[in-house]
Amino acid sequence: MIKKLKNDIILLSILLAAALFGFFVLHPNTYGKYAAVIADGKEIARYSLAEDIETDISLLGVNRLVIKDGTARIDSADCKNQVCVHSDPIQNIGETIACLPHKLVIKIVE
Amino acid sequence: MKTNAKKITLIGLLAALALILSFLETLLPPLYSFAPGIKIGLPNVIILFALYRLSFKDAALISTVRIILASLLFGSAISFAYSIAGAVLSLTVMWAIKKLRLFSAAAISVTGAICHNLAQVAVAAAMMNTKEIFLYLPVLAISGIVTGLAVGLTSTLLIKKIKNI
Repeated sequence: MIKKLKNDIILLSILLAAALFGFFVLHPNTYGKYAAVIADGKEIARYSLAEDIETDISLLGVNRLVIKDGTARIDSADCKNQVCVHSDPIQNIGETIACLPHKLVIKIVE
Repeated sequence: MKTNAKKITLIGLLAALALILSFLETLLPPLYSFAPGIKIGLPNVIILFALYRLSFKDAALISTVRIILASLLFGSAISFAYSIAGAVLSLTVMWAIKKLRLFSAAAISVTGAICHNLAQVAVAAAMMNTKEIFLYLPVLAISGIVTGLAVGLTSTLLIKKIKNI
């Protein structure tokens, strides 16, 4: 029992360390210049983060992309789960907001 | 486990319980402030219990029934794909590390939760053809450690209290 507890602690520590490493070290931290709209793996549009805009992206459904103060976010979407709407605004290269039901990804690029 | 009828009843009962826990989870306020799309994984309380007190085959059966019914009742074809991928990887890995007899149910549950996240991120990255989706994995894994531990400790209580079924 004690031996298992020790093993558990070792395993959980390794998993937690790996997750924290990924979270703090691998996470992008360089400001990007554009927000790319990717549908089904292909870039279909690109908006500059320097200009504030609001635009509707109509694919399998409608997502409203808002770019403001150098960050991009999804303001509204007509899907069921609303995960993309609740995602934090993105601004660093490689950061994404994904809308799984509409097969849409917003990705920050250089 | 003596009679077939008893076993079928038991599997049906556990599948129903897992389904209820799935439904319960949809009623909880989403934990959006921490990470988009994360869940507690309550049905795993039942799956882990089945893995300990029944068998891998029975746990897989319960999990499959739960996912099919949950997708039909309050999910979608897409949620089915994500759930089944998560379940296949997490159940297989949980079964394999349980066989090692080195870890407790709580640690097995945490590993299962992280495998579930990994499979779902992989499916999302493949479906949307965007590898950057993997950047979500660390934050999902951190939440998986917390929720997996809670689920695992809950399941441990069940496993200890119900020895003969």
